[in-house]
Amino acid sequence: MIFFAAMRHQMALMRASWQFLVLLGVLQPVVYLLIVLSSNPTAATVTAVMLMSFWGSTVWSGAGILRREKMEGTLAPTMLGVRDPRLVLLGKTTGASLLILVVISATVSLFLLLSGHAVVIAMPFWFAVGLALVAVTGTAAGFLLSCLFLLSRYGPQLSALAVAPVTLLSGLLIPVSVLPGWIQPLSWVINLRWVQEFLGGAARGAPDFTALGLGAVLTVVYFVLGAVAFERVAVLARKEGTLDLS
Amino acid sequence: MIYLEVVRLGRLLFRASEPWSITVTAVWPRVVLQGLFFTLLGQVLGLEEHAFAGALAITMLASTVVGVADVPMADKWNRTYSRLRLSEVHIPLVFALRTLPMILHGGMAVLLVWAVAGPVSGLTLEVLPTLPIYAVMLFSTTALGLAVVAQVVGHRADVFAGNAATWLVIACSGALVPHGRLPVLDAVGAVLPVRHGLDAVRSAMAGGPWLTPLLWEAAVGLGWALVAWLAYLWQGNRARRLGLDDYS
Repeated sequence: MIFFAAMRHQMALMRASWQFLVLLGVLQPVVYLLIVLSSNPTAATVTAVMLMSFWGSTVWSGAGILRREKMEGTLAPTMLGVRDPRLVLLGKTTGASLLILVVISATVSLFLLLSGHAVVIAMPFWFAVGLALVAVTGTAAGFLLSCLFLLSRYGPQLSALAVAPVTLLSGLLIPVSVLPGWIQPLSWVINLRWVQEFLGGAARGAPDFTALGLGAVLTVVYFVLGAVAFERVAVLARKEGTLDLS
Repeated sequence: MIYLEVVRLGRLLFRASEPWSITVTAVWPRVVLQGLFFTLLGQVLGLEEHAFAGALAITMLASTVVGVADVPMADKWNRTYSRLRLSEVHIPLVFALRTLPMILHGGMAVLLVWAVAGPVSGLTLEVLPTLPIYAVMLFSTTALGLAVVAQVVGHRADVFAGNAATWLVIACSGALVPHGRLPVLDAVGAVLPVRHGLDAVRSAMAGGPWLTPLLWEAAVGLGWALVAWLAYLWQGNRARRLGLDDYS
């Protein structure tokens, strides 16, 4: 119950601060689409733009949740509350991921409609499954990064740094094959790479279930790392008292 | 002498918000990776040198258009905005002098991306003679940043305004979206920074005339500087008249 309450609360917060939704969910994908859509776009290009925008949004909205709680003075009550604070954080990151995914999907669809570009999804069911994994991926990444960024006073700079390597190495808009050979293995641990391969395959009518499995496994790994990072935050805040909560 | 003090204070404020350790370990790596991304994206899209020149220009925007928002906003957050109005130095000049660290930071970003992404694009030497043109773009984008944040300093929209202006510049400047794709982008880009500067860079790389577009870039920058100057002066006068100057 607390999970859904936190999710709704996060969505209400993001709707209230609509400027960030416009920035991350509308302007960002529109500019990427303008850059890449020189000719008839493929479904893979469109999903790449969606995932690029989604990752940037996840880092700035989902990952900043705990930092924002700290700024607004609600982190201490959350950490010391009766309910498990992990459920609260998980609910909030899920809410952020779902809302931003809906806004980005609507923006991309509207852009394609207005610009007269048609993208055919050969296997809509598996494409929808892939999008669901995207939402879970965003939740996991937001959960992990939110804890990590709380540990530093320089969250905004670290957030910006987190966006760059994923956009460069994940093979979304730049094929991994273009990168130097010694860098390419780094893309294996970025789950968006596998999600993108699955989504592109589902759109072409040939879903790659190995990619889906790898994406799912990496998402679980992100969740586990997030749980470890959260434990560290909890110890610093409640036992050692070295983490400023307000 | 007082002007040097303003510059010194600007440097101290900048370093307080971004110490060298963060600049070196987080900001510069991000700048380089972002520059590499846009350069490689340009190659994938077949834009080649068109994209590398654009990537260098995009690199500076985080420091100039977005970064300079912190200059007036710091006084708002620290509730010292009203004190500035009592200064013998005009507020617009205080803010302009305090943006120097951001301008230098943006210049450093351009040099870093040129040094690292240049070899990837194979255009290091071709772009080298055009680097002074980017100095003019540093000025014009900073002027845009100051003008944009001036409109929202009384509201909680500085992050939105700076980032929205950045996306607008990326879309309309021809940095990565070639001219002619959408007429409306070209029309908007003509009154925004970077567009004419990039025209000058690309023309110079092709051995063509570059002075006229460069002068246009400077004119656009001066235009935005004038908008910023007038906006801060108007706000100051209005605040004195209506008592709205604490922005808290």
